[in-house]
Amino acid sequence: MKTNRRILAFALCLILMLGVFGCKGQYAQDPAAPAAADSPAAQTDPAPDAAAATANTTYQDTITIGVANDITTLDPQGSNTDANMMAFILTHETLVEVDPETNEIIPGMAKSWTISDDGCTFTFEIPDNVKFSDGTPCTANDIKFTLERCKESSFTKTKVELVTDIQVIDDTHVAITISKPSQDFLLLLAHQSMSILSEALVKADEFGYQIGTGRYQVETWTPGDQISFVRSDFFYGEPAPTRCIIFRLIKEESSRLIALQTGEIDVCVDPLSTDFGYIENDENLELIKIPNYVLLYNALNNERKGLDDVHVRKAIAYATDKESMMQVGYNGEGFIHDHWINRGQLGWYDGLEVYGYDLEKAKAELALSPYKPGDLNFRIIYNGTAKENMALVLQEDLAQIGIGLELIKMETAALKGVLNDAALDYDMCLYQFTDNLGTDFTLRNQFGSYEDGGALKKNGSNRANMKDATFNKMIDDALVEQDPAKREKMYNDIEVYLNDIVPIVPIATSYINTGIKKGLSGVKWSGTAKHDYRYICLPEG
Amino acid sequence: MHRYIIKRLLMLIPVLLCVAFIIFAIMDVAEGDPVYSVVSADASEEEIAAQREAMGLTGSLMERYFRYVKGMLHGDLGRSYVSKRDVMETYLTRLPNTLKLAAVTMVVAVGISIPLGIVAAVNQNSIKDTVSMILALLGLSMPNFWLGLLLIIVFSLKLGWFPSGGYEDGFISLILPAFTIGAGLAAFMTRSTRSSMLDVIRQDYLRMARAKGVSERKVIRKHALHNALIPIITVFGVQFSNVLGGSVLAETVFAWPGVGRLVVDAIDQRDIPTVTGALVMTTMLVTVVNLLIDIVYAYVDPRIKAQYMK
Repeated sequence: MKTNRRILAFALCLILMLGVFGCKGQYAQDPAAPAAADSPAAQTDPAPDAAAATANTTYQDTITIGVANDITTLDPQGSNTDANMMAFILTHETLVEVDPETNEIIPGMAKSWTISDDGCTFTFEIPDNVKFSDGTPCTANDIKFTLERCKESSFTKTKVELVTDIQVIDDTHVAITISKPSQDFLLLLAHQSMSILSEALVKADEFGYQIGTGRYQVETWTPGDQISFVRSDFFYGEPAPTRCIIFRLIKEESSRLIALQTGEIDVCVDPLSTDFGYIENDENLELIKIPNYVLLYNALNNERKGLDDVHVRKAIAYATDKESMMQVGYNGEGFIHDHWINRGQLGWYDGLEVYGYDLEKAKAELALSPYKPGDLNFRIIYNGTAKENMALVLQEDLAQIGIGLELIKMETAALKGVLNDAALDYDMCLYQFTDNLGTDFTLRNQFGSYEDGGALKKNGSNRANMKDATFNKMIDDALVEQDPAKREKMYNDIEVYLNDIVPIVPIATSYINTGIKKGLSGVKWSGTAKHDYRYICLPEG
Repeated sequence: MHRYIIKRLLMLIPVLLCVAFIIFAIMDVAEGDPVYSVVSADASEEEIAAQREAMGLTGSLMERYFRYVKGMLHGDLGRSYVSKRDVMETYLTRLPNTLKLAAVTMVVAVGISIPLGIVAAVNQNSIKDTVSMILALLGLSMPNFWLGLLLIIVFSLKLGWFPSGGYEDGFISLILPAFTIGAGLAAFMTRSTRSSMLDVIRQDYLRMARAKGVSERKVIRKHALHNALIPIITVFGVQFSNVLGGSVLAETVFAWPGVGRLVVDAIDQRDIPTVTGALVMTTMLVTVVNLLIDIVYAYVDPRIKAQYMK
């Protein structure tokens, strides 16, 4: 009856509304009308890091997170997207984890570990009561199986390429040996794609990889719509404070924000920066802004004619107006990036001579090259509207120093196809690189190459197509250096080396923005956008 | 009549084969290798080749097409490259959402357009006619995504009457998306109804009915509308088929997991089995709807029924 009345009223209001609101342009700032928690409540344990929580706090039974990207697979070793990784944090465990605040290695499934004197053997101990969410026990054999599976997958093989031997000592101890000491090996093991799987379940069922030892298990998954996770009955540690977590796919940014305002969702991932005011002015909502590790850069294909000349690359670097690009692409919400590693990583060198926006210097650099203004014409590929706006700025600036730039906007799949194709048929590409897996991983993936049949071949994410034996030796030496001070100095030197050859033009990092309901706590926000929702909770009422 | 239906169903086979081929050809020439949607940038050439083999991407276009058709004849539409799930299963998960939305949309469209079109025709050149046509023009001019967001802001955010998206709340979740899509359809159908009615109400047999003392209401409802229905049903059929194919913009704004979004997302990921499977199934559905519309013609107009009997 109530519904009928609403429908009737809806019809009557519609004509009025078209006239009144249709011309208004933007909606007003009233707080959302409906109450937040329609779902049944449950008394749960307080979240470990929810400072405000008390023993008597009642939490919402279900928390819904409005996400922008769909989960594509539940196989940890079968993908590398952020959306998938956030699911694995809930359902699976890695041997060790990275504390997102301190970037330090903390225990994951392994409660402790030792490293041999030569730095090559890591022995992990796991609790004896670890169980997968179907109730079957997890043993050291499953860890060995998972690491061997990682070697087979193109998404994970580089993370375990140093592993030479895996010894199961007993059910709770496993020893992993690597070919040379690596200061970043534990960081690699902490990546969600290294989540531990059950050998028996994976061999018995093609979707057996969905079952992990995490605090949650998948309840239902409707691709393209939503996925729900419920607390695992077999988790060996402290239970999660919220019984059910739902990732609901709402691709349209405005709809996602409105769903948060109306209380249909509790977390709105990645709202539009132009809509921040609606969150900030709403007394029921809060805006979380985390500086991210996603580096936006202009990948210069170092093997293309013109771009193989360091002076041309330097000219492009000087002619890149990063500030304006950040304004048009990120609405000014971000940080200009001039370095070759991420802010906060070991080796960040403050004394670097950066390429500030200076068209005169750009012209001077171009004059040092064999090319005259007007000689060079490049094509830049990219996806998305933000990057299109940035490319337009770059086009304008390069034109002022006599370099032509053709803009080619592509769909994401097509762009990936061009970048990954062996032909490498592009001059420049506006692209991004995300990681917090250590300085070595950043440098090796973005700029490294390996020897194959007497020739150097670029690493997968090396979009600059840079093949430099000197650089390879520098990162190899730094990786095995055990003295932290010496190692930092070596990475400083690598920053300077890259700064001299300018394989890419780093542009900016931005923020990871999330709108949440006030009172929501327990989330470990990550600069890689792989937020940890295991302890998420929202007090009732 | 039965022979006609069987003949139409048999015609479905070449149509489906053609549709599948066209999709295969288009996806073949589109930029972006599907292999790269499932392997990482670090994949070796051997791994890429193995993946290509596993995805059935080896061989010429015709070889791949015939492999697909062979599977299709066994009811196998393949597996998604991305989610690894059965395409038929995925499609059938989305189809009920699309059918529900399409049905309510058409109810909204018909519920608005038929009365409005009749009122406009009966009161031609009056203020009622003008208002009806202005409303129709408004409906045609408003973009779906704009109207959808407007409705969400007013009826979800301001008034809190309807959910802003999703389908968890049952029938009430359908109202806003159905009205968003239905508004445009209603506008088009209002104009069709008006024009069809105007043709009919000038006919001599209606003047005769009035002269015989039949009430105006009965003249319009029984004699005029009945004879004006054929063009209206045609427009209805075309619009219904369009809605069955998915209304991507409305589905995106309302986070409605229908077939339209499934196809668009799959295109973006170069997920050829999902694109092909979903479009083949949608073609089948649209053809069946068209057949049903043809059968309805026969019941509305005996002359058409007689033609089918030949």
